[in-house]
Order: sequence, then C-alpha cells, then structure tokens
Amino acid sequence: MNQTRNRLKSLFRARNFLGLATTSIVAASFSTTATPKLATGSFTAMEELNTRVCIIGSGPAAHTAAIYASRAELKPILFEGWMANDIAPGGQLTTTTDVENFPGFPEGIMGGDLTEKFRAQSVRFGTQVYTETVTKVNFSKAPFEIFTDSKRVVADSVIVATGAVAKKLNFAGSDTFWNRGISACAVCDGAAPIFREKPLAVIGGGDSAMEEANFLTKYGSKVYIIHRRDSFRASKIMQSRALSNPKIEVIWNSAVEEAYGERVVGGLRVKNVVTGEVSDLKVNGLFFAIGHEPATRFLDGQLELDSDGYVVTTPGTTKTSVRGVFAAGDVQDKKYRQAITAAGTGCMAALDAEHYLQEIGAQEGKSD
Amino acid sequence: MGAVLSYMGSILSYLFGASPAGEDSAVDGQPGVTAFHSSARWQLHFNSIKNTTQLMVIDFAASWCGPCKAMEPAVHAMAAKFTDVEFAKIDVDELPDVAQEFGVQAMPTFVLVKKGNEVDRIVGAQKEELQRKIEKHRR
Repeated sequence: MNQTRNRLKSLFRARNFLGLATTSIVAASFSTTATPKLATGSFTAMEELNTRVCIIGSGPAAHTAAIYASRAELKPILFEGWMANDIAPGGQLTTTTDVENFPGFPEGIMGGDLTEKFRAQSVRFGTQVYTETVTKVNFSKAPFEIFTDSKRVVADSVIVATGAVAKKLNFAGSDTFWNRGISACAVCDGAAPIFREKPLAVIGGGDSAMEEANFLTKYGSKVYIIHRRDSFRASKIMQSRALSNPKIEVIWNSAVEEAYGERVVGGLRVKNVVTGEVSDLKVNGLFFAIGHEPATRFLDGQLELDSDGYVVTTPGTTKTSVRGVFAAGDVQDKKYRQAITAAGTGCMAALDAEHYLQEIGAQEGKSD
Repeated sequence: MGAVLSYMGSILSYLFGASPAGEDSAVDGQPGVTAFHSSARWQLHFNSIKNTTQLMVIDFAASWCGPCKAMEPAVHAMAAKFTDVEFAKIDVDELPDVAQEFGVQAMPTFVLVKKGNEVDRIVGAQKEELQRKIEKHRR
C-alpha cells in the first residue's frame, strides 16, 4: 500500500514539471480505456528502472560516455529526449550541415549522420536508449532518481550531458514572426521554399553565423550578416569564406529593432549602435546565430551552476557539486563548446563514474 | 497497461517486419507513408484523392532536418494505426514547387487535406498535436 502511495506521489511530482498538454495521468490510472492510445499520457503506472549509471543527453558527450560505460559493463540507461528544448535527439549537431572539424572524417560529415553514428555505437555496446525527455531529477540523496513522463530511474551515478540551446533575441515582431520567417536554425529551415531566391539575414559573429550565412547563400538571393560589433569572433578561415562570398554583405555595428511583414517577415528595422541611425532592410528570413544557453533548468538548482547557468565542475574532472553526479559537454563548457571536446569530456565522465562506483562498491562491501 | 504494451509491440513488429518490394512510392519500403519524388506523380495522386472524403496528411520534410527524423517513427506508427488516413511525404528539396504551393516555411510541416482543401496544419515536431488533429479530421 505504501509503495503504491509513494508511486502516486512521484506521479504527481512528475506532472508538475510538464510543459506539455497531456491528459491527466491520475485520472487515467483509475479508468479503463477501451481503445489503446498511441500518445503518452494514457499509460498508467510509472515504469521503474535501476541502473549503475544514467546518462541524460544525446550528443557527442552523452554517447561517448555511453560507449565507455557500456563497454565497462555498467549497463547504462541513456535518455536522448523527445524534442527536448525543441532540438531533435542528437543535439546541436542535428542543426548543422557539414561538420569538417571532427577528427576522423577527412571528407567531412553531415551533422545528422555523425549523431546517428554516435547513437549506433552506444547501442552496439549495450546502452539502453529511451527517446524520452527527463522532466525532473532528485540528487538530494544516493541512489539518485531521474523521471520522465513514463519512467522513474534509480541510478547509482548520473552523467548530465544535456548541452545547450540556441539563443534567440527579443524585439518587436520576433514572436509574431517566429517560424514565419524568423528561426534559430538556418540549416533546419533555410531550405524552405518560402526563402528561395529571397534576401535573408543572419544575426551573429561566430563560426556558426559564418557557416549558416554561407549555407543560406545556396537558397537566398542575398544574405546579410548583421553583427553588433565591428569585427567577428569567428575563426579566420570561416570569416574569409563568408566575406569572400559575393552573396554575403555584412552590416556592422548593428542590431535589429523590429521585424515586420504580413504573413511572413517582409523587412527589418536595423539600428546602427554607433551612429544611432535606423534603416530599413528588406528580407524574408532572419536567422539567429548568436550562441547558446546551457540546458540546466530541469535540474531545479540541485547542481551548482555558474552565473551563466553552466554546471560547475572541478577543473580537470567532470565532478559536480554532488558526489556521484558528473557533467560533460556543452552543459558544463563555456569555453570550448566543440563536438570533439564534448566527446572528450563524455569519456572523462564515464571514467569518473566508473571510479566512483568502485569507491562506493568498496565502501559498502558490495561485489559486482 | 499490458494490453497497451502488447499493442505497441505489435505496431513495432509491423514496422520492422518484411517490407514490400516494388514501386518507388513506399518510404524505406514501409507501407503506410507514400513518398513522392516527382511533381507529376504527386499531382496525379493529389487529384485522385480530391473526390473522396479521405483525409490526407502531407509530411513536408528535409533530408537533414533533425526534428523531421525524430518524427519519422511517430508518423509511421500513426500511418499504421490510422489505416483510413492517407499519409504522403514530400522532400522540400526534391519538390520545392509543391512545398511552395503549400506555403511551407519550417520543417517539418504537416498539412491535413480533405477533398483537395487544407483543413489544418501543424508546424514543428509536435507528436501529440498531430495525432489530435488527425483524430479530429479523419471522419
């Protein structure tokens, strides 16, 4: 009886963190459904799982951790998320096209293909992958709890590798025209026919902005890069590629004040932040390429974060403020943020977790 | 719970079962979702379904679109479940004119059509929303 009550309690808790419009799970528990439904929300009890290591994430960090953990026979469970933070499983790499700087691919590889390979490799060595989004965690005591809509996982150790989300800007019209000409992913949406042979704009100054601007020249008639400063922070090679593209024009020292139009974006009001002058720019598409924000909100403050929201890790390790919980990839890396550095920290996290499990195993006199 | 699980299990084995060979219109050889690779074939198919009351769901996707790939299993599952609904898939790079005709701006976009007219659409990888709207319009 107590067990059922505790399960119901955890059901209630899990529900509170849902941003989705699913049917009430408590009601469903006590009704009988004649036709089984496909969507979530109609399953009754939470499935309870146990594991030595639970990995939250789906990018290079998460899968490298999974490869190492599964090869160490730790039987890891990995939650790759269902469109968590509006990004497909695989993470940020699924939002880019050619990846030319990940070692091992001299001809380059498409971001989506690379993430598929990561996943196939983790699965090959026995990682249990669930396409579910973690809604809540409990790191207050060991073993730790990780919740999704339908599962409660009890884990001896956890690796947080949830990455980061593309930042967006707010200005008049940015909400109205979201997905109606304004997007944070040039690669995802740039190919839409509505942008074909039309003038487009990218906001940003890093490598991603250069890559996305170049990508968009395949579809648009012209691509403007709007940057708030007078120089890019992108790598030299990416800068020169963008600047030497005849379809690309840079608008320096500028920021977008307003997006207007009818059904789709028709133009922007752009302000020069140095002179204060506001001008009109006719574009039918605007893409943000201004960086990312770490996906740490679901942790609900249970791990120490820095002022920018990144998980704090002990330098030289992936250890977080909670013993037994490790963080890898962009979620804890403000500085490098590369697929390959994420993969590196993913490996470190798996090794740190393995070491930790041996420690607690030894302390409790357990044998595996 | 057991009934639902075995139902899901039968869908999965259906999806991963032997695929019919033959015409190029089946996606990955799986029945349920028909992919169109030429405007002409699409036009023919669209016209043929215009005079029926059958609901058609058109999945506008792109080959490198992450959210599109994420939706694939869900769309196939719905196609297997809702056998009275027609599912079509269009790659916006292969058939840009069709995508333009339907005003597709972001991928994936699911357009629900009945008797040649759009009755609803879903922009983005919204599984539950798509299912809800299919159930709403299928009769």
